[in-house]
Formats: sequence, structure tokens, C-alpha cells
Amino acid sequence: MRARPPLALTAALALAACAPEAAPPAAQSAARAAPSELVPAEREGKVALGLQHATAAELYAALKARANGGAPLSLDDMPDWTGFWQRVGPPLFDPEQPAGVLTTAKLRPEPLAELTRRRELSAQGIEYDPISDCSPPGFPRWLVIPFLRELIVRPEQTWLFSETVNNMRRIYTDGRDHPSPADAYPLDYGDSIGFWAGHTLVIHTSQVKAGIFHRNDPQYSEALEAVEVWRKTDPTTVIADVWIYDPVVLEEPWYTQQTYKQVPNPDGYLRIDYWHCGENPNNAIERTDEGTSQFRNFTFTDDDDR
Amino acid sequence: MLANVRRCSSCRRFKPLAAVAVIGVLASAASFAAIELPSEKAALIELGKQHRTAWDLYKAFEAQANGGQRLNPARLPDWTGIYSRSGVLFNFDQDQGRSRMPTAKLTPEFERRLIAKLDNIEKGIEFDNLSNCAPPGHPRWMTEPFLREFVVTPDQTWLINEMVNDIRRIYTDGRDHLPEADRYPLWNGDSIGFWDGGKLVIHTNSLRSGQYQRTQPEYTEQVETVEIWEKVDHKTLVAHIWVYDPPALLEPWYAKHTYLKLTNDDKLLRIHYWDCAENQNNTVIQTEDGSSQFRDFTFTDKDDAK
Repeated sequence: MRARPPLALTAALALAACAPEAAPPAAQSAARAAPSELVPAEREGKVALGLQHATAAELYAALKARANGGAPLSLDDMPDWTGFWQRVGPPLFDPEQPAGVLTTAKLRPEPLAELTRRRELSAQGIEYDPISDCSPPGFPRWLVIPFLRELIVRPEQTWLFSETVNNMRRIYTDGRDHPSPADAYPLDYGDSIGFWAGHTLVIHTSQVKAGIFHRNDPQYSEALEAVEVWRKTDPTTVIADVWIYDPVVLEEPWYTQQTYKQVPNPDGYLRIDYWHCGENPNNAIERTDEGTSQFRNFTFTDDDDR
Repeated sequence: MLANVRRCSSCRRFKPLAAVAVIGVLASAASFAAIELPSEKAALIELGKQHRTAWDLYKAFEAQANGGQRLNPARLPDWTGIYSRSGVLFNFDQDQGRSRMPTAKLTPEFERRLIAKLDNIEKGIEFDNLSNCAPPGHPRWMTEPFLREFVVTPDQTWLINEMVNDIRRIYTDGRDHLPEADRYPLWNGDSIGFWDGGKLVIHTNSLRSGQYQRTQPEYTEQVETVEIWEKVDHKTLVAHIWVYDPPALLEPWYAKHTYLKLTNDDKLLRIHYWDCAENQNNTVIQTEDGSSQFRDFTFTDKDDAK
């Protein structure tokens, strides 16, 4: 287990990093009661913020206290997140992962061994992705999958939509809590509640199914919980700070920042249609006994090319 | 309600701004509408027959509404909550009751096809494309069971059905349909619309062929629809729909669909991702005689023992 930074150092880092972010003028009005007061500006400070809290629920509660409980959005002062968005960055959960590094997550030994083994097999061409059978990527992998997105904001609820297999996350901002433990069970996208601090959306998600962060990323367990802080930083950019807590898999919270850029659509021709994953039966992929992927009835020989 | 006060023929006269201003004092902007629909079904049917195409009917409504109005962002209609379709789920027109044949005036060819389908169903020979996780498509979307959400924003409305994460997008930002050269059949077609007070008027084209429901007629790729959606009381959304499909229908088929808001006081009712293929035992294969066979299930005592 990697040693955590001393608490005093963590606190100092956090305080130093809490200096207001230098937002460009265009972003200032959109940001409203700027998130700079809510989370530190620099990555180190955000990592340290995660380390200060033992669980995602604690971090979420701390952010809520810092925002004085948050304030409901008003229809006459809504953030403009309209349009289509696409994630930018490499196909890794942490876009800032340096080349040649297995992962920036601090993994426990067993998940580390699993990831190492999976990457070795992948290098040999042996790979199977659960979404090959049209399963949803699930959360938090939802954050990093490609294709078009819509971020639909209303005061009582925000819908975070990804075109891939029509993924829809629902963020309840009407003050409700998570279901009681007796009513909670693992879901593809978990259960998400949130609050608004100005035009910044803070989300806590629990009740997720186990999965993988992405093809070349670690696995996660049903114990995973996440805190996200979403905000529009300029007219074409929405950023999400994400803290992942998963005591089964992670030695410490995993902080990443995800960036989504607005897709130009001046003529309005770009429209999202229904994604019918199983539409083309030739796309059906089965997992073989050795753990690799086999297209149904496809052997990739000349006979298939007919 | 202002509806039913005037017949449509007189609505065009209801344009002077002064009159609008006076009425505006009496009724909220969200509830005022220039389009007045007849209250009787016969008149609603007749209204459809007065127009040769769905586009003609849509443009007539648009003219009545003086082009419609962009929704006031601060005073959006309250369509929040979770709804479900009421009535006999598997009839496109509720007034069909227990009759074998629908209220649609079918062309001889499509009447023959429906009778053949119904005859087969009576013999237990039936296959529904939904069985392999295909979406129902529009206009069948109107009749499906399960939970629904209606997300209203000024420039776009999302009509969401829980089943297979089925989302219709209605563009109310003034854009037109795609040019003909860019059109192709889509599961839920391409929908544009405008608001007239609290009424949402929609025109949909670019649809795939399909069936209105299992025991209902088929429709072709030429199908186009006009819908008028309105919340008529605190828990009831009504959608009037006129379907035009020259190869299948001798005249436009009018039907009224009603969606009731579900009680959700504790807010524990939440829509989750619908992973259609999650349970492999649900896989249904179409047999050569057009019937349905659950994968590896023969429904014998041997299966029951498993």
C-alpha cells in the first residue's frame, strides 16, 4: 500500500490550491459562483482533496457544506449546456496518463495483477470487451466512451446522455436522497444525486455494477462510489472533475479530469438517432474460451469476404 | 381551459396582438394557445382528412399559431415526473375496444396482411421484432408500456420511454427537416415542432416501416405523423396523433393517447438503464414458420427441471 501524504501537507496543498482559478472572461459569467471556491484549481490540490476524505459520501458532504447546501437552479438563470458534446483525450480513464505507464490509479495488488495480465493478453491479440455483446459500458466508464453526448439541464434533474447504446444517466437535484440500503442494488449507471453551486453541478453516485474503467484500464467493484464536479468553463468546453473511491480495488481515491468539447452544428443537421446495437447480426461478438473475441460466423478468410 | 372555445376555422382570426395581450392577463403564457382542437373525435378525424399530407396539416397548425412561439425559458410547461400510458396498451386507437380489426381505414393490401397476421396469432404463430431487442420505432412508440419521461426545454423536447432506452427528440429551435438528399429511414424518424401556448405540435418523417402493435396493422416507410401534445390536468398528458401512410391507409388515422403521471411521493421510483439482452434466456429466435422460439427452450418437463 502506498503511503498517503501527511494530513498537514495535504491540507496545506489544498489551501494553496484553493486560490481562485484564472478563468477567461468568457467563462466568468457561465461559471457563476465560481467552482474555484468549491474545489482547488490544480490537479495536485484536487488529488489531495480526495485524500482528505475516507469515502465519496464524505467528500460529497464536505463539498455540499462548502456550498452552504447548494441552491436549486432557477429557470430564469440556467446554465447553457445545450448542443452536442464529445469527450476529448486518449481512450484511457485518466487522460493525463503518461505514455508507458500502466495506470495512474493506485491499485491494490490483486487488481494490479489482473490489469497487468489483461494488458499482456491484449498485446497478444487476446481481448474481449463486455460491450461487444451490446451491454452498456456502465458508470464510471460512461465518462470516457466516445460518440455524441447531450447534457440536458433542468432544475429538478439533469440527464447526462451518451449516444452509445442510448446511455442515459439521471442526476436528481430535487433534494432527494439515495434509496435506503434495503432498496439499493447494483445498477449499470448507479444512483446519482446532486446539487448545484451556482452553475456547477456536484454529483454523488453509488450502487454501481462492477466493470472496467475502459479496455486498457483497471476493473472496479460494486463498492465503487464517485463524486463529480461538472461546470462549463468556456462556450465550447464542459469539464468534470471526478474522484473515484473503491476500497476493493483502489489504495486511495483516483482523481481524473474529463473534458467534453461542444461539436459544431451550425446548420442543425447533426442529430442523434436511436442506437440499435444489435441491428447488424454480423457484428455479434462472442467470447471464446481463451478470452478473446470471435465475430459470429466470421473467420476473416477470403470466403467471408464474399 | 381555452381549448374548445373556438373551432379551428375561426382560429386564424385570433391574431391581433392587442387581443393576445388582454388574454395574456387572464391566462398564463404557458396555457394560452391559438390552436383550438375540436372536442369530438369525428371532427378530429375530419380535420385530418381536410389535409392531403401530414406536412399540410402541420403547416396549417403552424399558420393557426402564427408560427408558434419559442417557450419562455422562465415559464416552461411542467411535464416533470414519470408517466405511463393508460388504456388498452396494445390498441393504437383506444376506441377499437375488443374489436378484432382496428379503426384505421386500411388499403385492401394492408387489410389482407393484417387479417393474415391475426389469423396466425390465433394459431400461436407470432414473432415480434422487439423480441430481438429491436426498438419499437415510431409511431408504435406511442403505444408501448412502461415508464416515460418528458423533458421540456425551450429549444428541444425529449420524449423518453424506458423500454430499450427509447428516446424521441423534438427540435423546437426553428430548424427544418433534413433535406431530402440527406434523409433515410430512422427508428424514431426526424421530428420538428413548435409550441403554441402549452401545446407542442410535432411533425415526424423519415421513418422505418413497422407495425403499430402486435395485433395492429403494419405501416410503411412513407408514414408521417402530426402530433399535438398537451397537459390537460396536473397528472394527464394527452397526445392527438394523425398518421398519414398512403400505401397502408385510405385516409389519415386519428387516435388519442393518454399518459398518466405516476404517484412517486417518496421518489423511489427511478428509471434505470434497460439492458434488453441482459438475460440470455430471454433471447427469442424467429422460426421458419414465423413463430417465436426462446433460445434452447422447448418448454418440456425437462426444461422445467433445470
